[in-house]
Amino acid sequence: MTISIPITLGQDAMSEPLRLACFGFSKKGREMLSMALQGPANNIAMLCEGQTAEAAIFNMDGPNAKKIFIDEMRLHPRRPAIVMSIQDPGLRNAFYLPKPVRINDMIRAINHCREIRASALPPGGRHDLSEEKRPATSTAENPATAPCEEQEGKTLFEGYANRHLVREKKNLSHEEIHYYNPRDSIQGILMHAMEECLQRQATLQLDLMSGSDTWQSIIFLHEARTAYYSMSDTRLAQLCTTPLCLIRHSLRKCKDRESRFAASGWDIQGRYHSFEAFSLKIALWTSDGRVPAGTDLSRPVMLTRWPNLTRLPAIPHAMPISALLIDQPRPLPLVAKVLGLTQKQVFTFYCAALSLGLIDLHGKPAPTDSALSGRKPHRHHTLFGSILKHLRGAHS
Amino acid sequence: MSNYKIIFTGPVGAGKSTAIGSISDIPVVATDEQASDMTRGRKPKTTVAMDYGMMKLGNGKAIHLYGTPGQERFDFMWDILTHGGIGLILLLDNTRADPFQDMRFFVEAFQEFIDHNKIAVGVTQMDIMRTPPLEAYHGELQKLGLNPPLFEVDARQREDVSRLIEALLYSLDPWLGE
Repeated sequence: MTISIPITLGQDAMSEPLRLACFGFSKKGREMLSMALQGPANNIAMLCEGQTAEAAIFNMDGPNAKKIFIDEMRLHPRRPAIVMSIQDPGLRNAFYLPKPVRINDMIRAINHCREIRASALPPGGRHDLSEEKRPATSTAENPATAPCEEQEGKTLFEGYANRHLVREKKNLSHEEIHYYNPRDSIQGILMHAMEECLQRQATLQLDLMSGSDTWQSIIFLHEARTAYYSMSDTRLAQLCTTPLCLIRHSLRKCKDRESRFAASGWDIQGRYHSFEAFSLKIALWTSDGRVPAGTDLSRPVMLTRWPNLTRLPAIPHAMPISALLIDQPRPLPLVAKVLGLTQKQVFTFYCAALSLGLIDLHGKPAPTDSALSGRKPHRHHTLFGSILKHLRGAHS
Repeated sequence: MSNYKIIFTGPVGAGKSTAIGSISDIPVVATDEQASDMTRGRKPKTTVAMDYGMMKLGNGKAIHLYGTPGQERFDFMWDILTHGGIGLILLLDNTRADPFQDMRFFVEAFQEFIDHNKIAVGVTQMDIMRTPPLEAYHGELQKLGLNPPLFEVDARQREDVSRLIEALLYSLDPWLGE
């Protein structure tokens, strides 16, 4: 059967296929979608694993669809999303693609996703896709949010016709604040494993599997307070942003450490991290500039002590932020302001310090903006800058 | 040429001479001699006067690096050494019998200087002796009313010593920028 596509694909659409992650589809539904993208949609997009995807498409009529959607949006707030559903689920942070899906509507939606990806985001900029904190603004229509014109095309999915393709207005401000719950990610599992290891004074092995991937193991040694793993840092970082519902895991006690190592293929190539360094890495990868849910950003934060910066993985901007937060309690947005950093950069440090147990939230009252802006630079400010430059040049 | 200094202090064998050598742009001028009975057990030679190194910053500017002698009998020198100092690097040897006692001694000895400037603390030899851990050092320092940068340091590693000095500078001026 020949399927005509009465719209012209743009230049971008004709180049690389957009990498699309799909959620909430059965195996058959996924195959259908894949075939539609390859055939009628002329390779405008291709299905891929969630971590490498440039956009996501959700079947909102599947089980736990809303939860999966919300979790994914929290993990990838700047990733454009398309939702397919019989009825409009009222999600204002995604393109709504009504069922039965017409191929032209889907192409249009994918092209919108591509446009968002291509749009010039400010450094650290994000699309605000968090449903909970979106201000209650009206969904005033603009050319992008206008209902899709009636077009002839191939119906891909069964269902009722509801031909509105809604694009949510995106807030591109790079000072937006995104929240996450460490316990809702693999960070929670890893923190628990380390706590168990120390509490039980036992060597523990955590086995992890995401999707159809192979099992990966992390061994926690209580005596050395060290975590060993053989997977790449890239893989571990990916696991940190994988929804918990997609990860299977089991934690068990190792009876014979050496035999465990041999059985699992552990060798000298494995990665060895102190619990501190491991916690820090996981926190950095998981937070990605977000702050833990429940953080009161108006509350002054104090650093209880300096992190051991010669032995921990590099934390961006750790030196000036540490110096400022050791000096006196300060709210995080104020730290960003006085140091000329983005809030995201300060939040990243905050999450890292939090994972190390270095944050004290019971600080004194915060200094005012004017008190900080009235500061005088150190009398040797220029000299210090020269020394710093010299040192950085020496070990860069 | 500017006459500013960073002073390195700490007990015998903590790595002061080595640390200065790691970051100095000139060969370190050392005044080592055969160690006395007090220090012979820890190393064959010790600094009896001072160590001297220099970081050349360009445009004729330099920062001088002075290491205090490790032996207490030379402590009269310290006031002279600290004149013009912008900050203090205290190196502590984790294999010593009581590194906290060493820490208290040096903090009290340089108290006036620390009150007017800043201190950063490096703990060496932690690869040989893991205890006491850094947390314990933080606790002892807080008893002395201090919360300075405190890092594990290998005095032979230029990057370790550099980071300690960087932290000292940021303590003095958090607005230094990146």
